[in-house]
Amino acid sequence: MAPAAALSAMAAALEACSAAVARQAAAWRQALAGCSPPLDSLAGLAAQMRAAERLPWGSSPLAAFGDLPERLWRKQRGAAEALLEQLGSRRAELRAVRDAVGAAVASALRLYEERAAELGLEAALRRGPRCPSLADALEGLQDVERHYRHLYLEIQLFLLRISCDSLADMETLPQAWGKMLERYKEDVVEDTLLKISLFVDNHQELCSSEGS
Amino acid sequence: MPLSKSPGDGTPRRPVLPVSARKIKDNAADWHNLMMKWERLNNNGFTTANKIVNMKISEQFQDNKMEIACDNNATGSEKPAPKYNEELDNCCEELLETLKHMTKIQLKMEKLTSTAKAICDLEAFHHRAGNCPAPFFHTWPTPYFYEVSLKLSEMYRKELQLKQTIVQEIAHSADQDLMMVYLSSWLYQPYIENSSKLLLEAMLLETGHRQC
Amino acid sequence: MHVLNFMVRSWTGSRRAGIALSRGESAYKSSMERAALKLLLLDPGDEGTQRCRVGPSTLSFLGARIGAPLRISLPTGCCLCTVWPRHDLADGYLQVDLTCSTAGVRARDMTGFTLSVGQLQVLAYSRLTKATVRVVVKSAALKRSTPRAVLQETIRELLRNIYVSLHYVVTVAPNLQNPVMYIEILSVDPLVNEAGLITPQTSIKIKEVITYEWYRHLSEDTAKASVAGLDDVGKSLKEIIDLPFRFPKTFKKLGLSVPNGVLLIGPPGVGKTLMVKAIAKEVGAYLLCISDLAIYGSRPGESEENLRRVFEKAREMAYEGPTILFIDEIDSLCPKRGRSDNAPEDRIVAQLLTLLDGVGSEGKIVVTAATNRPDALDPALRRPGRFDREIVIGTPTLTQRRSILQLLTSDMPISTDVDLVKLAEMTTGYVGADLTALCREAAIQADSMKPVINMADFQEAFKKTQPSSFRSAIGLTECKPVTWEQIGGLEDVKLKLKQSVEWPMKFPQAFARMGLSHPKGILLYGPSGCAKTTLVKALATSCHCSFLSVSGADLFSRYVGDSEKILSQVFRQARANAPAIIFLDEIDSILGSRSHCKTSHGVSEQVLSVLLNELDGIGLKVTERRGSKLQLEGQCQEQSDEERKLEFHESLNTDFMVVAATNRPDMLDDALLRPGRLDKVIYIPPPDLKGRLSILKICTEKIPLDTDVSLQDVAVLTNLFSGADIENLCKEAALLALQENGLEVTAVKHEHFVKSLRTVKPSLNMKDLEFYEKIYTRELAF
Repeated sequence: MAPAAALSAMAAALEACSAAVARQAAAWRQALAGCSPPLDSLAGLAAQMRAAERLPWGSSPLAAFGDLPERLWRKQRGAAEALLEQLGSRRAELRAVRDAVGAAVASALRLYEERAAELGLEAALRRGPRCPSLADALEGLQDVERHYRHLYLEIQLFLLRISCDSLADMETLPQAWGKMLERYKEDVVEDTLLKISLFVDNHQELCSSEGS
Repeated sequence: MPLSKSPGDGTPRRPVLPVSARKIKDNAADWHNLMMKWERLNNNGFTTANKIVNMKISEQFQDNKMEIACDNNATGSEKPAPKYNEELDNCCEELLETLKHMTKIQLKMEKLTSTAKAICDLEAFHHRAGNCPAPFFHTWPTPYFYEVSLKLSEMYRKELQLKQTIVQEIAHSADQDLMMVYLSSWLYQPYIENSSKLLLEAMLLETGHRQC
Repeated sequence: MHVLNFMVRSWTGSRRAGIALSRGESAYKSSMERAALKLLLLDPGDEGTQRCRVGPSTLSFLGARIGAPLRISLPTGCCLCTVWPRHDLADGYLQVDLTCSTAGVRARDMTGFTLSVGQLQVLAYSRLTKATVRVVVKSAALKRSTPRAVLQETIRELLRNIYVSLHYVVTVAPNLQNPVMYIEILSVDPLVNEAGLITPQTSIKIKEVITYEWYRHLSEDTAKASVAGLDDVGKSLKEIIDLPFRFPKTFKKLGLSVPNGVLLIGPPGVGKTLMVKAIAKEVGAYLLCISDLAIYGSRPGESEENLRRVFEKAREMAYEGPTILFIDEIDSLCPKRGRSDNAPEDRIVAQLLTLLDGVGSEGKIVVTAATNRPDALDPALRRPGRFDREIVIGTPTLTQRRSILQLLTSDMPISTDVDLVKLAEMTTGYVGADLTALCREAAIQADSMKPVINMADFQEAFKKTQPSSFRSAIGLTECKPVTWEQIGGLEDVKLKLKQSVEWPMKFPQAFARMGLSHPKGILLYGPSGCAKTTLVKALATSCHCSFLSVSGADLFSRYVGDSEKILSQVFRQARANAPAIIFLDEIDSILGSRSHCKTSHGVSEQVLSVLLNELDGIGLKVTERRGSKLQLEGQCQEQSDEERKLEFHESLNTDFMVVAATNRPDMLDDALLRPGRLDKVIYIPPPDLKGRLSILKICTEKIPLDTDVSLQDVAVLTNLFSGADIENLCKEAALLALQENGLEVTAVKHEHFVKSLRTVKPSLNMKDLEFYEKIYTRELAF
């Protein structure tokens, strides 16, 4: 019963992989949530900087403070840099998630590749009444890996583009951020985790029924 | 956490400090405590100022709405205004109070500076002969403590001037850009340079309040 | 058969489905290979995944594991996919994500196609250790703003887990917002024929980063544009454009100023645009074309803005590589300023000048412009640092026409009787565009029955196509062919004209052999209406040369200085269209005479001096000549006699001849008649009896004459009648007949001629004739 052994090995690998992905997904959500406050602050800061740019200093009650615009601007820049640094550490966390997910998925896919001949096509395609096939599970894992990889890439480029030279863009950062995330629905991760758990449950049931 | 004056543990070299050295060490601790206090007051003040600005903006918004309402039916009601004014007054009072505390702190800082000056003068008097006195602690010659004190207290003096102007004007401005600049200036304290923290830390290190 | 059953059966249950092919394997295999897979649109979720979706039976036939790399041969190229089952497990369909494919494979070309399973090939794969890529980014701005390290990481992430092959292009899914559009795989290590998988361990080297614009330019069809007969001009243009591109440092080091602007001057259709395009292609430069239509905007300032934008774009492209900015018909974009209160156009000129001056400092951009009216351009454009190089492309010469015809007919089925040399001889004044039209027309003539195009088709086409230079230019007249036979009498005049004009043009080598030089200019004089103009037309017809006719009216202009300019232009056109005949009709009215019209000497005197200069060849620019002397000196050895004859012919033919006509020879300035100018004077007398008879014969050719008409008698009665008078007489007689006998008249009777003679009077008189005779005899006495 070679396919059965291979199938069990696959199920075990998928279970491990999905556990890892679930852990990483939580870390991802946390890091992602951690990005919002600094982005909001940056937007607020941009609004302040633009107000300072627009202000007719000479005719304002602050006219006596000649070097104030320059000093304020420097301070604001410094604050922006600090916020970017914060974002940088969130980014590093996201990157770690991406890499961990990548590694977990790669090892599951590699196992399938090694045992594909043993498993045969039919076993890989077989679906139960409420159970997805191995192919469905693998496809889901691949999608999850790509999801994190691509979203991370976009986040990285997004953060890189933030610059005090374009304050108007900076002011709309939270909206742009939201729009970007909207294009990446987390559904793919949850769906895949559900698929895998169904697959693994089904396999265990089959094994125990066959064993008895 | 405030540093205690003349803590039990001495500097490594001299267990018993001469009077001048003790004074300098106490001065350093005072600097730290005053600056911490200032920061706290600044944050409180910012919260108050923020409230004021928000009230002013919503008041403007309300006014606009009122105008539209008045256009619609000639006999407008006239009750909401007093409540806002009362709250605004309270906030202004609060801000004024904060400023008063800050003024006190700044005065203390001036005092610390003149103490440092006195110690320097004293030392110069003792060593008129010209031979260079050995530093009290690690490396700093005594005048250096005065220089740092002077630099710091200059920063706070100017910053206090700015804050006085802001407190005077903030409730009387209708220009949103200007209000935004007031808030930003209050928060980022343009006259307290980034070097202030470095100077303070160096002084604490030199006087043995901080360990390397 | 049971295997086919398995395909339809549901997937739950059957364990035997995965059984390897056994009995009747080969028969099954070939039937499967032919099995059709209908190409369907990709599911949106699969975009950018490199997946292809097939049904289970195809999977089983391929023997592929899920996710195995697969090469799919598509009608427009190949693509590399990983194979996945369709979600509905339906067979007979194929969906392909084109993330990694050969260049030029596009999704929109694929819908509705059917592939056979045989076009799917499972590949083995190896993990790549190294890959070199070319990156195509969306815009120059993004290229600049993206740090190399970021780009490097972006590429790494985009390529991770992708299967590639050498020279395949990885397309980045459009929904992924990032600067990169395409990644072209330039090399892979290990170099294998199978698929290469890019892993996190693969080291990726970016060899080049280019913009999408530049990429599109590079991947446009690389077929060389065919240009013929422009070798010399092409060479010099290429030098101007290519050298600074190729050796910018040398230019800088030597302190040489890089030529900024090249102005191409030549009549329309001569191939200016084509040549710029060909050279851009040859040197690999990006060509940015501007036409006035694209620049003009209705809003004030919009045109300048458009112009600035084009230059800005050129500057951006120049970051990538050599860039040529080409302004076609620059004369319409930049007419002379301050001449017609044309403020908007003045502003465009000013803007262009500023932009041109700005280009100079940067290099890598060469601005070329083309015009057929260099005189209409604002002179500021032609100053140093702007369009400081000028290249004149004239109408092609005989050999050039022959090589153009050779090129044009190279992919046409022409019969052996087509003589390209003869065609080239016939088509004087034709530019490349005209010759193209000629060939097209010939093809239309031929297309119905015959498989090939023969000479007769070309001859027919020749009748129908006109050289385009005859359309708009001043002086160039649509010359309705006139044969010598259409002119009655004047046999000795015809002979003289043939000797002095037609022969030197047709048989130059004979003239050269005999040491004869042909006259530079000819003056025809004689009473008006005696066929001077018609004679010249017949001359032009029989010489197959361009014919430019100028009369006083053409030269009249209210602008001071314009008359001279128009005259110069006529001469320039004649040189461009050589061999050519310039016909100055009523030259007395054009010039007046220095000695006679003291009062109004200003304008006419200047016109005269221009004419004298042109006749002496002073106004001739070196660049206006075409057909280089080089061809005569060297490289003759390997040429056939035929070639040599052609070139010899040509070198003598690059000239033009001036024929002037007047009925007031006494009014002409003597300077005009000196040797080397109008050095041959021919008297055209009124028709004598014999002449009148032949004129009458020609004029009545289309008029039905009654038997009682004796043309001989009419000829006798028409002493002192000019040719034009006789033509009038015949018309009058015909009208009279119509008047008298009504519309059913069948013939003109003798009496009609006699009656007409009462109304139509001769325009000549004895006194005038004596005047001409006197001059003529004086002439003979010399």
